[in-house]
Amino acid sequence: MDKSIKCASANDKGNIYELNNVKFAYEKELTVDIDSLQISKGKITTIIGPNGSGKSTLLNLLSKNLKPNDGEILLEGTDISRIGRKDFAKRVSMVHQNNTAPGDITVEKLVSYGRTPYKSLYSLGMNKEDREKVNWAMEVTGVTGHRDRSISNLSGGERQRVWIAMALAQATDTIFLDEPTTFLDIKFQLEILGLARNLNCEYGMTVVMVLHDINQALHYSHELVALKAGKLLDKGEPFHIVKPEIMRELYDVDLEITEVCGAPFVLTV
Amino acid sequence: MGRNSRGLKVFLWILTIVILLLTVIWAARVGTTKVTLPQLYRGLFVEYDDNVAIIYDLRFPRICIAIFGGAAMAVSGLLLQAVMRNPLADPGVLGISSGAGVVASAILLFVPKLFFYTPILSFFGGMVTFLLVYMLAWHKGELSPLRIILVGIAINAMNMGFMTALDGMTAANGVKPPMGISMKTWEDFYIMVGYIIAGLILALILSGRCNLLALEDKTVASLGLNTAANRLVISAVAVLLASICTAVTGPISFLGLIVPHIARLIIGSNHRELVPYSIILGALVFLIADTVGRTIMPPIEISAAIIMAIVGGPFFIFLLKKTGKNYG
Repeated sequence: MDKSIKCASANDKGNIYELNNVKFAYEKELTVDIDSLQISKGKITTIIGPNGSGKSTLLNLLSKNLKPNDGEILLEGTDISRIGRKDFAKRVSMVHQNNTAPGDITVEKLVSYGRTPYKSLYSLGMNKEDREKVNWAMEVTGVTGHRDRSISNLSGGERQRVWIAMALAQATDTIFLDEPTTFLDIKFQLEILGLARNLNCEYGMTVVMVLHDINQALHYSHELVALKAGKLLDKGEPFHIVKPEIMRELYDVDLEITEVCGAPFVLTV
Repeated sequence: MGRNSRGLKVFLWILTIVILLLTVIWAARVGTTKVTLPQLYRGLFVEYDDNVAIIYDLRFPRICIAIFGGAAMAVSGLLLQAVMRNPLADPGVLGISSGAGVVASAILLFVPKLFFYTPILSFFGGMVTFLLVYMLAWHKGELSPLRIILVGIAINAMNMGFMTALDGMTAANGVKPPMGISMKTWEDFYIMVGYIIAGLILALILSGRCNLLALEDKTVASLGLNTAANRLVISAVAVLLASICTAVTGPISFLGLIVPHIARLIIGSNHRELVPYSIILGALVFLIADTVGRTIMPPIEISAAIIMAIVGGPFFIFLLKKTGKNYG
């Protein structure tokens, strides 16, 4: 496995997202309450925090699946509430945690659904650009060989790559991954994380994800966003976040931190 | 893309169409007035024939109504199942048909002058029922399949009660309320056919959207679609089809349940193929039910609705036992 943490091409390109005074509540209590947060363009940013800290909620706010009760979320300077659904889906794609589809649908068909934002109700079939993007998405995720197979015949890891391929077919600059490795064997976890890194390195995509594993988060990310009880605890490069005192504050537990291959490593045992 | 291979699917498509054509010929010939096939052909296309003229005025409107009504009910069920992600959804079981029927019965009793507007006014009856079922079944932000069915069955029973009461009053006035599909004329066919063709074309256009609705709502939203708006539009088309059919044939249960289920077994989950196939299969099933109903013990006629209820009931229970596992 490639141990190099960072991709050389990911130099500073400014911020893609800017959040100001964002508040969101499912019921009475605020689930997300962030005064200010910037997400860097062209980098891999991972949101970490304990269960119920609002990680997925934040991701759903950024991807317009949820509307903040207050505050503004700017995508390259424009409030996302003022971007139309289709236009937004051409700029930001998201792979959700639980996905279902009819079992008999083929991989290629499912990936082609990613072209939906480019289609109107009446435009049947796919044009040349659609086919190119779908082929590219299958190629990058390594599912081209499965294109005619039904998704019910795929393993969990393969299926997850198909969902990522569908999001890639949207041809966006930014992709959100909500706990993409959950329920996968370690081999497939590394595959998916390698894929996320590849999307950033090779194609310059901005990747924002939620991960449960601290070490995976710090090894695969340029920046970490630490959330606790819906509030921003800290944000920055992994070595800045992964310190005993911040870990204690974040997870309420003392964790020892060592060094593996020149990078910090949290002992979670 | 279905479980069946391309070739088998094409064969089953052709087989269904051939059976439909044969059933049309059977339905045209069977009954007290007998004609031979050549006689029927000559009477229709070459020269006037007394017997064929009788058949043309008595049996053909009925055949056409069964074909278009069956297609409408089948597609209505298919669309509702897609929208609710619920294989048990059926315009009859959910009370949509009877909601439309209440309006049709009320028009006949109170304002018979509005006869020609019966289909479109019935649509409002169906839509009100649909929205009522939807709202009442909504529980903590979720729409459980069984809850919808339970609420639908309750509303359906209520609507049926109103309908029976209204029809009873109409009968007391000395007017015989039209029962089911018998004694239909070309006029009945003309008032339904336009709406049904429009509804079926809309269903074909929306079939791609039905495919997308099989995914999780969040995923559909991430593809840039407004899930709520899509649901509402597709539901409205489903209610339109069921209401128009009901306005002319009376409520029919289970047709919209059985046909899409068989269609999915043959075609798979792709609505671009499921909608057209359900049109053909729905027409076939309704026509068979109606023709069997009027030939099984002449001169007594058993309505297609009763045949469908007798056949559909056990089928519904079978599906109910299977549900709980994932849809699709």
